[in-house]
Amino acid sequence: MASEKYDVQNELKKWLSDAKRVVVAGIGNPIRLDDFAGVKIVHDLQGKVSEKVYLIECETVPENFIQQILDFNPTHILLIDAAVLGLEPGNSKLVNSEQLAMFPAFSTHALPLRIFCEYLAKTTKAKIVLLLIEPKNADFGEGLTPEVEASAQDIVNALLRILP
Amino acid sequence: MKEITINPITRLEGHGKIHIFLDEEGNVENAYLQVPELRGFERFCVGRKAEDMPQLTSRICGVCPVAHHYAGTKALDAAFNVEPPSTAKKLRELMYCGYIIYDHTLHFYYLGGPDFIVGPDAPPEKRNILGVIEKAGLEIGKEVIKHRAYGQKITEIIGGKATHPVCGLPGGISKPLSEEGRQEIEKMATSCVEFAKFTLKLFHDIVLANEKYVEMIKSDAYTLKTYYMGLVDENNKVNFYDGKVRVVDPKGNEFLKFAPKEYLNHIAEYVEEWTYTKMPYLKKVGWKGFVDGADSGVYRVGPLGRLNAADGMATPLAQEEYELMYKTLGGKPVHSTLAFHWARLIELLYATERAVELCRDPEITSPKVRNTPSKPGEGVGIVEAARGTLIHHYVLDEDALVKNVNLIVATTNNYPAICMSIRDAAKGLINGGNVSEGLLNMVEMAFRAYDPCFACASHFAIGQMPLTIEIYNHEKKLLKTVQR
Repeated sequence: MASEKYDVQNELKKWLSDAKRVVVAGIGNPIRLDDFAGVKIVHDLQGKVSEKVYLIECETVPENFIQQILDFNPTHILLIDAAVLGLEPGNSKLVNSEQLAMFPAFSTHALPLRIFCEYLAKTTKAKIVLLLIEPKNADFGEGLTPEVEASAQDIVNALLRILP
Repeated sequence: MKEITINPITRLEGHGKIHIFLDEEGNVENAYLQVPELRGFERFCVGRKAEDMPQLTSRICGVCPVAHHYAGTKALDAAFNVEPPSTAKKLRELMYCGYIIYDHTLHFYYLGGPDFIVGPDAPPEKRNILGVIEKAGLEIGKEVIKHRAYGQKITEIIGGKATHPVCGLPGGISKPLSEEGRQEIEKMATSCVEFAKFTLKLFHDIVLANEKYVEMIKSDAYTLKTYYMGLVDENNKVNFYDGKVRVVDPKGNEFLKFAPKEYLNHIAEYVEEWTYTKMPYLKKVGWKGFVDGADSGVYRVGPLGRLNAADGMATPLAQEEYELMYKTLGGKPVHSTLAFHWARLIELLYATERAVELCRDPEITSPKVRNTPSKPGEGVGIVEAARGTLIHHYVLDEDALVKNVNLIVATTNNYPAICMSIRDAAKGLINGGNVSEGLLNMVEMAFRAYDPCFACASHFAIGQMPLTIEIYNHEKKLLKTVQR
């Protein structure tokens, strides 16, 4: 599990190597246990990043923040979300927006993430990637499970080192 | 019996599964939408502090948080037996207009509307905002984004947060509106009126000018003769935030009109074994199964339900368009499911006009925005969510902790009708076992018109979504479950 997290952090570092202005958007529902992971990560970054980073706690409606993302004129857009990928709980994976084409245009969100990413790709010149975290439990409830909480904290620490 | 399953349904909030049952000849026998919905949520609320309910319930769904927020707040007004000051009611309604603006815009340009704008036979990957931009131009896309953001900004100025407001309190609202905020809202709302007019023109040019589309709207495949329900003001005009619940029969005559606290006298819920979603029906008529007509208690809510249940719109431009819709589609009530799209745009125009009226009201910046609650008890709050009538019913204990919760969400109210619309569209469009992608999408069009919202039990953003196929015989006995 440790090497998996290490790989994700390296991939993130490579992906952000030429970043000038970064949007970090957390997606998920605060009353769905691990589904909140993406938003929790962004929340924990608040007040600790430079003005080159724009943090958005989208909760379940990333499409509501398109105008703000366009206004920031980012070079990179990092979307962090919980997703069932068949990994161990807490493990994560970077998926670039082009790879989304192989997934169905489907989401628990009103606008499928694939369409959201394609729209951003059409209207910005930014590189777009999703950091997806495997949830253990996404039933109604508050707080993350220990596995996902630990992973979220690792990602926060990594982003604080990597972000411009 | 052959079964065709469309899963996942694209561009639908939450996830669901459609079962279409064919008979031995390959013709449609029945069709159902099966959804996991709101499992455990009501239980999750028990023991919570009453004042948390507007925030908590707004998390059921990111698309209509304002509706849940105010259904919850109004239920608390009733439970604490307190009447908010007039300015607080106006601010709540103004914020509500912002929500309707961004939500109805979302549906028309992103979700259901592209079926018409891009075309029902277009490839599925084009029937979304990307296809709209391709057909109508990137500039339109920018206007859509801008005006959705205006709707969200209006809710943020009053509600404290754009997505999940924090302003509703029993007896009022947390803060008054500043003059600076009022001016900002007025500017945005005025622009939204023009945007709504433009959107209706687009609908006229693309949909109503196309005979094939109008024929489709009027066709039997998309017609259900049901009862209709919606909130109305004292003049029986459409109102999203407040009023009495009015029900008209399939001929358009007033059948019921009741205050929110009386809802249990008029609405009952039938439970089917194959879905988590209950089937609401009118008690006075009774549950007769998935049939329409005056003898069936099935009713419809949402934009078309509201317009049919009311005598008109309370603003001039929306009223003009209201009259045009009924003239074009053959008088009241309109039973065509696809007319939900037109009704939704009439409501968009109404919400923008009403927002301008409210932010010019001299009382809107008054500092008196809250009255003191009294002892906790029981309360019902009803608002019109974008998708239809939304009911919150709370029972509180003496410490103002939640003892019991009952929610009837908009999509649940429409659920029996959605299943029937799917079945009827399938009957008209799938014959002899012949099914094409275009035809399947037209079946999807039947329920997307309702703008259904299924806040599902778990989060499968992308990737290997669990797929379950359940096959039932004619006695509703489960024959086989297939999972991958």
